[in-house]
Amino acid sequence: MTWFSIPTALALLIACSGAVFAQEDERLQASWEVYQERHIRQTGRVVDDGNGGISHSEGQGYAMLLAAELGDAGVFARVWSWTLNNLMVRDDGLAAWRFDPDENPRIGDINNASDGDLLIAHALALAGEKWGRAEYVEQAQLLARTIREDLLREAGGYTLLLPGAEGFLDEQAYTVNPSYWIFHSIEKLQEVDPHPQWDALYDSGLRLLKAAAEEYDALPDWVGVTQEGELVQPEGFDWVSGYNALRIPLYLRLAQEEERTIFAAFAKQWGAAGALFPVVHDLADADEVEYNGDPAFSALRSLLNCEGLQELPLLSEESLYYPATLLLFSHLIRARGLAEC
Amino acid sequence: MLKRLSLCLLLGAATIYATPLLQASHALAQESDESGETAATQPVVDESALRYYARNRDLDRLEAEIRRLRAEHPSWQPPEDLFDPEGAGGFDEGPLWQLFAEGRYAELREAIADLEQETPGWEASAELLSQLELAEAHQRLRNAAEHQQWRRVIEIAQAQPALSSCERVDNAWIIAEAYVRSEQPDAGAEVYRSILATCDEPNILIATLQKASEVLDDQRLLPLDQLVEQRLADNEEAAAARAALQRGRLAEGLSGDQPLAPQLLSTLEEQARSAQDAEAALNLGWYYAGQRDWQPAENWFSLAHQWGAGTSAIEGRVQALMRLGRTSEAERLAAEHAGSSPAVYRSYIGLLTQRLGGRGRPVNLEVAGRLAAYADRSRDATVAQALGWAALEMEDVTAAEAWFRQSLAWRENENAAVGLAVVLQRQGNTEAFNQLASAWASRSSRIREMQASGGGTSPAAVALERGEIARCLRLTDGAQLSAGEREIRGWCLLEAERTAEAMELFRSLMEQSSGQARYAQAAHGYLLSLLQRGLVEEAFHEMRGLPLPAEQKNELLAQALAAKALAAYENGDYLHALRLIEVHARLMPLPYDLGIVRGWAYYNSNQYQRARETFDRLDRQYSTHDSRSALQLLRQRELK
Repeated sequence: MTWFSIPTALALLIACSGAVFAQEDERLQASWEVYQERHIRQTGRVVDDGNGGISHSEGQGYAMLLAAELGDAGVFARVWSWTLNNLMVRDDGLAAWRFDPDENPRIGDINNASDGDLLIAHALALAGEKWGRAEYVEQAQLLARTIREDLLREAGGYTLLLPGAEGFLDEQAYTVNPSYWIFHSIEKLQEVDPHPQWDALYDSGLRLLKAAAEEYDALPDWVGVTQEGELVQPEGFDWVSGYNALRIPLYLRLAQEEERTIFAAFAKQWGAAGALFPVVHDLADADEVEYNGDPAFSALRSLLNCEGLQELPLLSEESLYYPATLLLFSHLIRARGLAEC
Repeated sequence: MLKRLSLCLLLGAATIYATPLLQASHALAQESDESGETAATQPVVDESALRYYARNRDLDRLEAEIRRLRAEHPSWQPPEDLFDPEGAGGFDEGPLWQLFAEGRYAELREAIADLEQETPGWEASAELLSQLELAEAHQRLRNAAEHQQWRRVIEIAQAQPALSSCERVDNAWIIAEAYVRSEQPDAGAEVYRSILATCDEPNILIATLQKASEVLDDQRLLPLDQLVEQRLADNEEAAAARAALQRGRLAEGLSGDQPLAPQLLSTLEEQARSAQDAEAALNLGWYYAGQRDWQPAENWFSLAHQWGAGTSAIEGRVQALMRLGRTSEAERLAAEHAGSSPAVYRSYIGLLTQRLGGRGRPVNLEVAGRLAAYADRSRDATVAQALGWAALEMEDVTAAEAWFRQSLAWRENENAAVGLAVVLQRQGNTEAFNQLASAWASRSSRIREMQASGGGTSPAAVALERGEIARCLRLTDGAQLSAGEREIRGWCLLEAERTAEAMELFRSLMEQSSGQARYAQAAHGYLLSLLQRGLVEEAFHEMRGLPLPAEQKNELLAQALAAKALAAYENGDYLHALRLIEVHARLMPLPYDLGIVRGWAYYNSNQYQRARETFDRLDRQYSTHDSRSALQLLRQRELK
């Protein structure tokens, strides 16, 4: 009859988890340790500290995907548990998009956010394969099917991803978010839920990005798509290229899509390395630019032409949740050799 | 799925692990088999709590649990392996159970996943996993219910039958409500029934009945009520709670369209009689009046009056007598109380006006005589305009003009203005007509239409506009009618309250019409004739089947309801007006003026509190002369 104390057991856990990652890239791993210590609560809630400490399905999905990519089954299980029990409360099985611990009710709007659902489904599929967990794969399939059946729309030759189940359609156009096309996630869902619509969605995303880059010289955070397939400025959304759009090059690299025109548009927008990073461009007024000094943002520049990619900074504890997440994925691209410039 | 009771519940295990109240049938079958084999030798006892305390070295609770189980099952012996470590290789799950006990489920998931990865072959015990799954499902259930995601609630409950139990009766309540709210009321009622049949704590039973009454209809609630009566026969608290619920149901019956279940009604009637309860009798009177069942209504108003109820009982009785055709009795009663209660007399006059005739219906001369005397005495504009229409029906244009002008002098009202416009048109007095029309064009669509259709319309349409209904019916009484003429005939039939014919005609028009506009008109007429016949529910039902855009349907019905409600109000049938307005409000927001009518209908049916609330709300929304003067009147009344 042997009784371990709890600290002993925990020490054992920590010792073991180190061993698993021995073959992984050390700098990616070190950044992940900072990330999960700093941004993921014990409860499994990923906290957006740049946004008043709220959580969202997108953040949960990012953390789950990173954990699955990095082989961290424990953190994955923890984050998924919180997500399942707190966000997956909608009738259709998708995740509620926003959780504010200081509000009552903590979910103020039951709508979903499609990119959050995509990320969660992708992470579940990956985790299920990696650790042979059938229930993860089943959940991924369920989510994939609901996304495909409820959130895809046809307009002007595009297969569009509605940003959420409610809204985003006015009299003249659908409003979409180009940065919700997470190409490698769409690819993964095609694997677990084979259907030609996934290919159509993927292909439409690339065409949409190119059309927008050509039309506006920059990628807008939100854009309207009419039934005729024309792009228009959407009503009720900021007309900017900002915090949403800036992750588009990251998603293209993760899917190994070498889209030079789009990278060029961002290169022009972001300027040279070393300068302060411009996070938001007003599309109506070229002089309106918002800058952000977090080094995790400026690391995005190296994704465009691979300059400095091999010297990506380690994640600092100073970085807020969102840039930290982007930096982690940039490290993943570097460590996996996904960018071939 | 959630259907039958698990046996372990019957064994009465009260543990921190909730015992399943409703379980999947295969689980039940397994348990039955086991108990069938073992019951003779060793009782089936839920030892999960015991093992939990043992694992946590919670010796005090462990001892108490052993004592409790021994008391319940004298032949039971504590298991010998209570302190053996469980799982592969003698692994100690203690720290994991500790996380569980502290509700740190996500961390527990993490610890299990890590251990699985690090120790090939290791698995958490089935018991830990199932308890964890249950606890997490409990969280999910609460979170989904908080956001009214009822289908999700049901999904979670079906995957985890152990979620509902007498120890977690609030979960069972949530699940029952989820079924009812997702249109499976029978499944919901079954969950409530299972709780009532299984749990023993009186407070739980009473609270369950109250919960059920919030969402179930009478038909489904009654058996539950009887079950509580059976199970808590001598419990005073339960009796009081049941009586309160029944009274609440009656109050709801007053404002709703649904009749009460006969059993509930007879219970209430017995209670009222044995206690000679004036208020209960009055409620029953109004309930029957709302159901348009006038004989029992009259009886109950009469009893209420005997037992000391106020003027509301007299007013109700006058109304019932009128409906029963006992006009002289009604008038005597109304006149007798006219001094103490003007409302009674007003309501009597309203009812009398309804029987006057006009607008295509034959005029009752005796009634006209009584009303004329009253109108002169009381300067009542509503009665005056009704007399105008009656005169017009009898082709006495001069008398009609006098009544309409008199009515307008006493109080501006659209009915009198339309009547006067018809008179002026008939007299060929274009100048006066135009003058009147321009004064009223902004307020009256009927006058606008009269103005617009100066010529070119069919004689029948002109007759309809002028309110010459008998003439309209004569003109359209042929076999060779165009669709347009048939539609006009439909409207005239409606005006003449020949609703059955109107209904038939509009229905056949709907079947034959090819154009969308004509179809919509015919559908409008059809719905209106249903409503005019008092077939509100049928109108709703029919409306759903019509191949028109939902918005248009709602609009049609709302328009029809508003018109009906207004007519009922003008006729002094305030309760009916209220019911129609209620239905309208369920369909779409009330227009402001209908809100005002609602307030006055409450006022005139002596429901002053509700009148006050209605006008308060309207006044806050948009303060007008109407809302302010109504509030002032109500305040004065309260001061008295």
